[in-house]
Amino acid sequence: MPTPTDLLQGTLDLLILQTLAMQPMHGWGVAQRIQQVSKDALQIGQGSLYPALYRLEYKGWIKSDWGSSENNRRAKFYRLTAAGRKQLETELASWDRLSCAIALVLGRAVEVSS
Amino acid sequence: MIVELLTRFRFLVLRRQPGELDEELSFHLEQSIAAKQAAGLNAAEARRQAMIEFGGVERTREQCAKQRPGWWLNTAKRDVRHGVRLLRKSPGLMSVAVLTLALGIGANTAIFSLVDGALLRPLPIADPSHLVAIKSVKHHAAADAEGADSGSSYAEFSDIRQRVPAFSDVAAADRRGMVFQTADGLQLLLAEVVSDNYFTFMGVRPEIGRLPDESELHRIQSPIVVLSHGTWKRMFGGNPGVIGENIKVKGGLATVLAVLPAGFRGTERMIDPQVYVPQSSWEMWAPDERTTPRTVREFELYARLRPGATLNQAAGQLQALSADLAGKYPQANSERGFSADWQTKAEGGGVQVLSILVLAIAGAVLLIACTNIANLLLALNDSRRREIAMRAALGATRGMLLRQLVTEYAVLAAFGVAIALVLAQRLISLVPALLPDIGYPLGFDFRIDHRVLAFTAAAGILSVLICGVIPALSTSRTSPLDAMRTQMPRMGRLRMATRKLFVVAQLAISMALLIATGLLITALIHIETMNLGFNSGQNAILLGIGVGGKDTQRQADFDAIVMRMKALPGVKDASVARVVPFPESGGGATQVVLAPGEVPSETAGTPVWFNSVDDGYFRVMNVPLVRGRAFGTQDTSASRRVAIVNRTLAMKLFGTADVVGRHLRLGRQGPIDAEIIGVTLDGKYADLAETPQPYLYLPISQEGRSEVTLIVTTAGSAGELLPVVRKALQQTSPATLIINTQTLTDHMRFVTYPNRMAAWLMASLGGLALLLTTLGLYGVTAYSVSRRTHEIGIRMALGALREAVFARVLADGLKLTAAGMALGICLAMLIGRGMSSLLYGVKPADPVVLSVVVVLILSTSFAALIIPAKRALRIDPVEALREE
Repeated sequence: MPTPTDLLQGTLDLLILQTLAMQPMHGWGVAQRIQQVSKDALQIGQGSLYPALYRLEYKGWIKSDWGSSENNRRAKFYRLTAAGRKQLETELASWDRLSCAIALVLGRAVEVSS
Repeated sequence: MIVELLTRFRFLVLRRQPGELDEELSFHLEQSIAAKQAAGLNAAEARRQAMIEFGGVERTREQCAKQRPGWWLNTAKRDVRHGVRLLRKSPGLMSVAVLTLALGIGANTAIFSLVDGALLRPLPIADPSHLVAIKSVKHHAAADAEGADSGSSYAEFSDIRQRVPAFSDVAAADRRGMVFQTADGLQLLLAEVVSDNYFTFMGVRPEIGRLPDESELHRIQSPIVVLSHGTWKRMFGGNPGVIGENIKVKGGLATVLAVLPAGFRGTERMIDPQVYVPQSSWEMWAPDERTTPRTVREFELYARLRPGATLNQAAGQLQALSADLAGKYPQANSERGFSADWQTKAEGGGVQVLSILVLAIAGAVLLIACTNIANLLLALNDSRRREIAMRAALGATRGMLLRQLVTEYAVLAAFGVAIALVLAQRLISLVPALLPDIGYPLGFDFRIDHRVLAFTAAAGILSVLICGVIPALSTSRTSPLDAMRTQMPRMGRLRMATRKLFVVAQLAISMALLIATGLLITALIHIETMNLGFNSGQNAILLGIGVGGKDTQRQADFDAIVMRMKALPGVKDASVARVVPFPESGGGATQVVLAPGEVPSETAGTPVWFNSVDDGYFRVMNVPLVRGRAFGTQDTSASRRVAIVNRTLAMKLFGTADVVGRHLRLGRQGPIDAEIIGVTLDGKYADLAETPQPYLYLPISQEGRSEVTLIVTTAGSAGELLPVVRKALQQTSPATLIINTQTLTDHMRFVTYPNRMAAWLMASLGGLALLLTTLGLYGVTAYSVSRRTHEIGIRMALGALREAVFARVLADGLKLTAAGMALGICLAMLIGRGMSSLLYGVKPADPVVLSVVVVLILSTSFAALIIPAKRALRIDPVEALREE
């Protein structure tokens, strides 16, 4: 089993928002999508996923509705709200700034298109 | 942002369905299993691996719940509920704790409210913290009598206003009596005569009516008055129609222009002026005041600094001005200057020291209360140790235990504070009845406002910290292992030592307070039996009266009034004098006396306090003459000037008391010669603690005064005599105005008021401290006996005599008492030094006081110890051993 990379504080929120920006998804779907896209480098356990989803929902950035899954099971689908979309933009921008700054410090600056 | 807030709010109100998360989690697990099956694992293996990967769900549940906004509020609610349940579980112990706290905090709240009203609360004016007080200062003031005179004349006010650029503005105010003519007859009101810019200066807005500015006041042709809120309510029934109405005052009519808001009293703290009169209006009734000499320094001056200017600059400019004035008006202004300081610093003085002392003592009582409660809580926690150990065993962290304990104590404190506020309110409402009657409405404004509430809250929080920290810390250290034991291990010796230390501290504080109380009471007895140089204990009434007419006519009026008074049934004797000793304004006015051979000059002579009296004064007031004679009917305005001096003045001027027939001169320049015809014993004239002061008597017949004090003595009750005297006075001389009336007893009570107030406060706080300490001593001894039941049982089984056990318990307790008393005496010596100004020569180590307090503490200690000691006697050795 690959050791999941430790996520930076707050990064999980950003990943979830980014994932949900594409389409509404249930919890399992979010975890799977992050794992797939990161080529198994990021595995999100339920112990951190659901608290994060609840936190984002309490903040009003995502909303949840019960719907039915691909295999016709009742599942809760999360989707981005307008406030969430704005939050995502802010966080992406600050992420870009941060990663750019870290790259500079580490001497691995690359062209960052923004 | 708004959306976020709204969402948060929505979740505060709506609860999530508890099952939702579980459904989500099980869906997640199913998906995980399905994914593993799809990857080729068999059903059982897929399930096994998925479960391992999945991990515990309890933590997830908890974490999700914690995300909820206001989650902590819920746990706090739970802790509070637990706290209340705890209070209910041991109602006896807890009501003692709550009551103890309520008494401690209640006393502090009440005293803070008093101190705040008398000293600390900012004045109800604009920007009170930047008000500058200007005082007139006499350089090289020789006697107390000279230094006390800090007012300025109206002419000086105008000078300062025009010629000190560091001040943006200056205002003046002076308290005077003002006579109103109402339907019920004449009524004297306390008037604040103010400079025309006063209202603008103070930044006060009228409740009704309008306050004209300075230029408008100058243009107004007829006099106006502004009413205080209280006067408007009391005299005019709060009728808004009073604005614009003309009211009759002595000297003419006045138009009511405005009513000031409730609570406004300018810069006054102790009195509540009833009307405010601009100087321009006052001068319309009394035109001669336009030329009041510069030496009549009656006004208090206040100033505001110009932006950017400093107090130092102002002081420098004032100095330059004084030098200039001294050159222009040598007679009035030589050797004088002005000081400027923040009003907040200038006021206070003696009151401040007393306030700090009383607050410190109240704080000490609260400390005693807190240590008592700490002891109670320690005992309570001992009995709960199993419960707490169980919580620890079930996974409560030390922080959680601490939080819960602190919440419990906060609940306790909240109850205590609530009761304390009720208590304090009651206490404060008693205070007005305790204030002396000085003929004017006293304006102390004592109330429970936001400042007092803040103080109480702070006291409550501090109390929780003081009485909660030790029990909470030591209890939360409980090991989970303890829950498993059937026999709880003994609390360490340290805990018992802490408790004993608390009790010793309590005893020391109580001892010190009681000694202080004893000293104050002794001093009070000392004062009341002290020889003041006149008979202050006789039944007499004092009437401040004013007569009109010419000087010669006045003397005839006084004689007629005195004659009429003497003829009244029940009256022993009567006399008129300018003042009686201890006038409200310190020593009162002074008269400059030149020593023999001293050359008259602007600065020559000694100002001494003086009185103008008639021929009966020495007889009526029992002022003993040691040489010569009293004034008589032969001393008239036409005969040669005579004077009577006291011993100190005689010694000061001539170096001997044998001065009858010698001459002294009155006044600095162009002095008047007067022959000394008598010498009196020294007395006290302005302050009970004063050193012997020189004092001069002049015959009132040679002085020509219009306002005097009529003294009427009686064998019966002074209070009953008053209406008779009043009526007789109005018949004899209808034009005479009665300014105020007072019995001599009340007058003297006012003099000793600070002493009685201090003794009263100390006695109640000392009593409270003793009560709490006795409870504390009892509690600790009872607890110690209950913990030593086993040990005592073994001793008895081994043959210890019951008497020996009894004596042992008593001796243990009395050891604490002895240690506390020793510390208390040291503390009392310190306090005694701090309040020496109230003790009038009573030494802090007064043996009578010390022995009374020692006996008192010993006997209460004994009472507190006897119950637990008896309980120790009743211990049955068999029972005690079986308990193991």
